[in-house]
Amino acid sequence: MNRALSAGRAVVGWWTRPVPLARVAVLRVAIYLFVLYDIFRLTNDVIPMAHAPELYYPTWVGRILPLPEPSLPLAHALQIVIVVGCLVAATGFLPRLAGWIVAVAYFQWMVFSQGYGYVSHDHLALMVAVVVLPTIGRARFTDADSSEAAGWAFRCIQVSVIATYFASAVVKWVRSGSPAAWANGAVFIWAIIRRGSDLVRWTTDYPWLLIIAQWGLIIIEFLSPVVLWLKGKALYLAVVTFAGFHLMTYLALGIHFLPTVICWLAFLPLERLVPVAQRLRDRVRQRPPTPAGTA
Amino acid sequence: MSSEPAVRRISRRGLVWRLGVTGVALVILTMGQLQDTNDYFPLGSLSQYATPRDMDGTVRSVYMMADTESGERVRVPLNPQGVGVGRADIESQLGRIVDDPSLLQAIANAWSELHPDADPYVALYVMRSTYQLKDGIQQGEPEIEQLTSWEVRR
Repeated sequence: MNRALSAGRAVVGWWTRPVPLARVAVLRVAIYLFVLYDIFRLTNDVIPMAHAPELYYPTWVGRILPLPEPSLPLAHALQIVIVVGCLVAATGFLPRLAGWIVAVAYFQWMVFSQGYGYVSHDHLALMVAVVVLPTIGRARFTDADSSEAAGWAFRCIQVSVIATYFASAVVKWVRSGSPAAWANGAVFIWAIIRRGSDLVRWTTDYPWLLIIAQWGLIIIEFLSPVVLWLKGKALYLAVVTFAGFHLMTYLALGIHFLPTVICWLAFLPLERLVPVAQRLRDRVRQRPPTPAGTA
Repeated sequence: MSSEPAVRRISRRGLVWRLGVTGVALVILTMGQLQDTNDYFPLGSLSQYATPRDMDGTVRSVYMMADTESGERVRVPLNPQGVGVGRADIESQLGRIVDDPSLLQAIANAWSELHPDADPYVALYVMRSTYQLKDGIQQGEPEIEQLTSWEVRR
């Protein structure tokens, strides 16, 4: 009984390990500014697709919730709400109100963006981040305190980042019958023939090379949960490894997974950027004003 | 002066709803993987490139062609800058489109609305190219088939 209790405490403690509020303030800037990049550059199909509402074929949330059908005025309205909401939320002003407005509007935006048949798999962590950030409340760059509520939100983002890899390894297993059946197959060849860049087209002449790469990928995907317990240099190495993987898929196939990559920031001690930024700011301020001619 | 950094705790109620939401989300996410469905978006399956491909199988790729008003046959740009809807959307809804090609009217409308000065489409063709693989190596030129077509209504 006692053992069960202490195991339960350990699990709860893991999910709510305190995170410095200054780290929240920094991550919030990154996430909300990235959402703007996302709606204008990555999921920028919402407005053009509103011209083809007949092809709207929403996923479960879009069917079960009384959500509106896509239309141009609505798409433009969502865009405006997300822009204003993100700019306010990034500053840390009205973190809950602005955060929830962004969460709802961005959710509807994504239901539209992913509601025309194809569902992309790079937005899980970003959507979780947008939903959990407003639960933290006020957090300033200069706050020295840490918070369990922030700890939970960060843990949720971290777990969704890792789930993006681990779950994809599970689905490979589910679909193929065994991890080996997937790794020994022609997935990378298939991908490169369909959308490979000139940089990697030559690899289709060497299927064995791509099989090695497939084994490498599925192994790091299955091992990815380990990252949740890494610290210091090992953690940084893991972040660089996964970021490097996304860089390679971007160069090879034009697939970057940036919405997931940005959420890797939730693993890093971002609060250390605050003194650096302050020093930069002080240096700019201390610079004597342009000489006025008199001494 | 600032005092020692403190840890701000969560209330018991705050803890309970957070753990509850986490549990529900993890269950849906797990179901999404085991049932292998995108339908639970954003907690659906992470099935990017999960389908195994046969070294002696085929590589199929769908694209769209159009006849324009000035009589040219052009490739339909299936992307946000073109007609909005992407290639992967068309591939995902392929069965629905083949059953009811009138859905393609939406593509022609989107093209004319998004590019009012461009040559409008008068007919659309959903095409598929199929490469044959042998031991993972492409064998010759792809086979091209037309899956369906649609006369655009004005």
